[in-house]
Parts: sequence; structure tokens; C-alpha cells
Amino acid sequence: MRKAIYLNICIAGLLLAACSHIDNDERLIYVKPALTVRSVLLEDFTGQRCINCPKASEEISALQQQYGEDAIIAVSIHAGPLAMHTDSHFVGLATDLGDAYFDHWNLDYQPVGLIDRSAPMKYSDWSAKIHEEFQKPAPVTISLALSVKTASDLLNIHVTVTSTDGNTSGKLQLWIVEDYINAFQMMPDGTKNDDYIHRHVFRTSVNGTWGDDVSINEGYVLERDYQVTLSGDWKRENLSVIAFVYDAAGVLQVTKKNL
Amino acid sequence: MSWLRKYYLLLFASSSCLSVTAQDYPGGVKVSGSLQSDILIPQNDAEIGTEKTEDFQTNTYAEFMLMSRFIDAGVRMEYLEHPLPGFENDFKGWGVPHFWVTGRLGCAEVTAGTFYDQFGLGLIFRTYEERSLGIDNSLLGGRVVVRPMNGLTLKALSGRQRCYWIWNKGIVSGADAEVSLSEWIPSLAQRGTELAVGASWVNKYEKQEEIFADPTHQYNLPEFVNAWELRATLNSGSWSLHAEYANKSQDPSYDNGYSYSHGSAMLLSGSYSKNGLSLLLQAKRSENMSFRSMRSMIGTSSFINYLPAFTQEHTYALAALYPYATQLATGEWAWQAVAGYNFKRNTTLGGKYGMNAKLNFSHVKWEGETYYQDIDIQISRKLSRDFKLSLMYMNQQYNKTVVEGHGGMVRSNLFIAEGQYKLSRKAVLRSEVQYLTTADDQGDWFYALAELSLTPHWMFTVFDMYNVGETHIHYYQGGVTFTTAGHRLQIGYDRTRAGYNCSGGVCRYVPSSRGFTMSYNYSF
Repeated sequence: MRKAIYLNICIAGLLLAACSHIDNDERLIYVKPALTVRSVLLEDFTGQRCINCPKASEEISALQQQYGEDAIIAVSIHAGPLAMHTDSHFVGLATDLGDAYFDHWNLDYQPVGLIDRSAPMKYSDWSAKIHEEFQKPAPVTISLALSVKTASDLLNIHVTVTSTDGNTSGKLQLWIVEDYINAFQMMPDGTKNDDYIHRHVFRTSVNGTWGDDVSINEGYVLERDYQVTLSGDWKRENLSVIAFVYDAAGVLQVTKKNL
Repeated sequence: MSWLRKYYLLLFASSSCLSVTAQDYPGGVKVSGSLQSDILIPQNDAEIGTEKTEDFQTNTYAEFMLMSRFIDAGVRMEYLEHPLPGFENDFKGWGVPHFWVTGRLGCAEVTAGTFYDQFGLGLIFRTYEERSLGIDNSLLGGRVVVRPMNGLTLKALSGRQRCYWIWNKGIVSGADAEVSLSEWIPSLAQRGTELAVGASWVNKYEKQEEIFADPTHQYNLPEFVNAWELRATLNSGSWSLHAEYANKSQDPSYDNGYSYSHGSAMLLSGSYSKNGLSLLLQAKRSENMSFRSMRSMIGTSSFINYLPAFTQEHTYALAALYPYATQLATGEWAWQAVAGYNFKRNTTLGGKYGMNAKLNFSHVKWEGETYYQDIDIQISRKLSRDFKLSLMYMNQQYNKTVVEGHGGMVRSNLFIAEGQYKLSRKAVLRSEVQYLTTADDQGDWFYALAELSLTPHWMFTVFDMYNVGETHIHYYQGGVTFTTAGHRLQIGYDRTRAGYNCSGGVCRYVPSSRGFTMSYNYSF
């Protein structure tokens, strides 16, 4: 009897005291890149006063380098208390609409991202989630045709959405983003960088805060035309339009086209 | 034989039990409890940028306990569905997250349910509740404490850790042994010397999960993380000495950037107290000691361990404006020296009523960078039968970037005068004037407080904290407190400033607020 008790204690102790030592050459496990049958939307909620946010930007660059910028469509939404609105001293990249999204998702730290509008997550978790999202089929395809009249600030957008797998009901959202903006950013070492290059910055929405309702039966095509006035502060050669269809479960498909 | 019987034998059937820890309750069962409710009725305030999002916010806790000779039990209900500002999103909720039952028999004590405990100073294990910070990292599981002979205490525990309204999936287990050698060595006891040594071990089990180092590689994460700790305490006459060392195995986490390095912590603390003189000298070195039950967790939850800050905890408002928090993930060297002296009555320096002086020095740094430094001197002296004056000067360096994530080094000088005047046998008026001067952050601050106490029931308080240097905004509070028997009710109106809280690689904003406040406490 007593032996059995001692034996149990020893076994329990050994199990609990187990240690997983991992040598240098065993610390990384190779994962085959996911097949990119669809694109993934990455909404990065960032801020110019957020010292950790450049780390998230680096993560986006690494992911896009691996999968391509057409597969991972990133939007840096400057919002929340660590973002800056333009004033007399600074070029701020925050927008009221960005703040509305920040509040809607009830975010309480930065940097934080939404991958295909799933739960908010920190940048170290993005890669795994993107890997998972790539496995999902896309029930729709989206294509964009853009035209800007010369000497005009009016951008015409023609969107074509085709339902390829079942009937689709959701919302179609169109955004304008600007790349390569040179502006102030707080850096991870606490220093200020006045010449930081901000990538894929959210500028505005073409069709309201939450987009337009769409409903497409399988095999059918939906076409919509939109117009938006481009701000004179935006560099046209760096502008893009992002279009995505989403429902309560998340983003179904996303695409991006440069001007 | 059933498992139940095996455990019964293991836990209770030690014939060498010498001590009885259960309290005797002649009346049978003792009932106790408490209620704490802090309420804010918020208002909009454009000047400080606060917007009313709810009509009513409250953090409310109700606790109920039954105690008897052999069994104790308790529950705590928490209502945080509309929490006060400044807590993490996951803090919101309500329910009964704390429930426990403890049985005592002979030298053994067994707890099932949720519980708090600590090994040594907590370098590898400490579960505790700190409501003002939103911390409750209790374990849900079981604990056994056995005192088989005088001077020896053995503990073993295992459970899942509370993370707001869920319990993390990881399993935390541990054991601790503490020996009071002075109980065993008569010559030590005869000389009035107490010597205790202890050792503990903690294991965290957490499943492998998909965390990517880059788009084509995921981390091979250790499922078991072990930490161990050794400690010794010596008390002899006026002297006291405590030493503790802890080590942690590979524990890649979000906090340490998924580093596979071992963590370690070492601290040494000595004190002396005799004839009005008191001295405290402390040193600590820690590196990579962030230890959580969930490796990917951010923010303030799920810590298994705790490292004391080794800096002075200030109670004056402006002295606490820039508080230091231990940097667990990176590391730090911390030194503290405190000297105090009570000058006797009717001496040159002591005057007619005596005087107390205290000098503190704290310094924290890591890899050549100063994280925090505080040099302060406080003098307290009774000038007449009815009037006592306290003065304080502090020079502080606060690395705001390290602690909060932005803002650079804040170097400040602080001057404080506090007067306490006895108006009558039942009335005392206390007032404070504070001025903090700095060229950094938001510049200078001014603070004034007046507090009238009418014993035994009433206290009236008003204060104003004014930013002289940059914003020129007043942050104020006015309130009245009524205390009787087990009840304490405080009603007030206040405006509090916003701030950033950055730790573990993320930044969280703690919003400003303004509105009516009420705080009610009752215990029975």
C-alpha cells in the first residue's frame, strides 16, 4: 500500500516536473506556405505615437514579401488615442472614420489587427491566422476598373462581383488607401522619426462607414459604379482602391487596384 | 482501493502531525462577509476629452465566508458589467469567479476551488487580488498544506489560472517547503535568532500552439516550463537578512519576444532597527522573468510570479505621479537604501516633542540605461501640542519610455509641506501643498489638499491638481466620508486625468473621467 502511494507521488512529480528543453537547431518548425487561393484583408490599427506600431508594419512587410501584396491586402488605419489628427504642427494620419472603426471593434491596445474581420489580435498572431484564412474558399470574386478624368479630382470606380460558390449576402465596402506617406512616427526605441515612410494608409471610404448591401445568387454577376472626389493632399500615383465583400462571419474576398 | 482513498491516506494519515492549525470556534460556525461598491456617474468633459458612454459605471464585489473548526468556505460575487474607466476590455463581466472550501484535519489543510498563495516573496509564484489595478490571478484547483512537525511547512498545489472571466488552459503546479531551523536548533532559539530556509518549484504546462516566427516557420514551443527558487531569512536582535534566488527554464513568450533564454532573479535585503534608528538596504537583479500561464498573453493578466519593485511607494499625489513598475520581461538591477531616525524629545534636534527624519534612495537600471531613480528626504516634527508639520523633498528620474512606452526621461524636483492641526478634541484639519517642477513631459504641477476629520464619523476632503506647465487643466475632487460600525460611505465629485499604460510591447490608454462618485464598504 505504502509503496503504491510513494510510486504514485513519484510518477506525478516526474510528470509535473517534466521540462521541455529545446536546442538551438530545433526551435523553428518549417511550415509549407499556404496556397493563396484567395486574398486576405489585414486591418492594422496603428498610431503615430505608438512606439510598438512600427513592429507591426515590419510584420506586414514580411508577410507580403512571402505571399505577395495582392494576397495580403493591408490597410493601416490610424485611429485611437495613439493616433494623430493633422493640426498646425503635425501631418496626422488619423481620420474620424478610422476612430469610428476603432471604437466599433472596442479595441483597447495598439498595435492590433483584424484578419478578415475576425477577433482583434496582436501582430505576433497574424501569421498563423493568415495561414488559416488562406485555406478558406472564396465564394465571390471581385474586380475593379478605375478611371480618373484628366484635370479632375473625380475617381470613377466600376466594381464587378461574381458569386462563384453558393448564394452570397453581405456588404460591399470600398476604401481609398495611400502608400509611401512621409510623416512623423514614434519608434520602438522611444525616438522620434520625422521621415518615417507610412505604407497603405487608410484615407477614406467610398461608400459609407459599413458599405452597401449586396445579394448575389451563384453564377450571377453584380456590377456597381461609384465616384469619389480625391483630396488634393493625396499623391495620386500612390493611391489605391480596396474593395471587399463581408458578412457577419468575416471577409469573403478582397481585392486592390492602384490608380 | 479507490483513488479517493489513496489521496485520503496521502493527505491526512500522517501520524507525525504535531500542530493543529484549525481555529476553535466555540459557537460553531462564524459568518463574515463584505461588500465593496465603487460607482461613477460619468459626465462629458470636452476639455479633458472624456465622453460619457454609459449612465452608470461600477465595480462591485460581495464576499461571504463561513468558518468553523474543521471547514471554511467562501464565495465572492463580482459585478463588473459596467466597469469604471481604465481597465482592460476583458475585465468587463459579472459572476462568481471566487469560490473555495478548506478542510483542516490534524496537521493538514486542503483547499479546493479558487485560492491565493505565494512562495517566498513571489519570484516564481504569487497569486493575489489587487482590485484597484484589476488584478486577480487566483488558481482554480487544489492545494494541500501539511505541517508534519514544528518548524516544517510543506505545500503542494495545482490549478488553472483566472484570466478575467475565463480560466487559462495552461496548468500551473508547484510545491514549497519551508523550514524554521530555530525550531530545531535550541541554541538559535536561546540566542533569540530565527533562521528559516525554503525552496520551491513551479511548473507550467501549456500545449503547443501555432505562433509564427516568420511566414514559413513556427516556433517549437516548450510545453513544460519549470521555475525553482531558494531562500533564507535570518532575524537576530536588531538585524534581519533575507536572500532569495530564482531560475526559470526556457519560456518563449510574447513578453520576451519568444526568446529561449533562461530567466533568473536574485534579491538580497537587510535591515537594522534599534534605538530609533532604522536602516534598510536592498538589491535585486532580474532578467527575463515574465512568467505567465498563457505565453501569448499581453496586458496585466495571467502572471504567475511577482517581483517587488524595490522603489519607495509614495502616498503623496505628486510623488506618485510617476510610479515605477518592475520590468519583468527585459530585466533590471535595482538598489534601495532607506535610513530613518527618531530624534528624541527635549534634545537639540528633537525639540520639545521629538522629530522623525527619513532618507530614501532608489535606483533602477538595465544595460547602462537608468529606468528610475528617486532620492527623497522627509522630516516630520510636532511644533506644538496641536500642530504637526511634515516636509518632503524628492529628486526623481523616471524613464517614461521604459515604463509607459513613450515620453523619454522625466527629471523632476518635488517639494511637499503637510500640516496637521488639531482644532479640538474631535476635529483635525490636515492640509497639503505640493509643487513638482520639471522641464519634461507636461511640465510643472501644483497640488493642494484640505481634509477635515470630525471623529468618529465624518471626513470632508477637497483637492486640486493643476498642470502649470502645459495644459493648465485642473483635476479636482471634493468629497465627504461617513463611517459608522462596519459601514463606510464616500460621496464625491471628481475629475481625473488620462494616461497611457504600456507594458509587454503594447500600449493601453487609460481615459480621463469626470463625474459624481460614490464608494460604499461594509464588512461584518
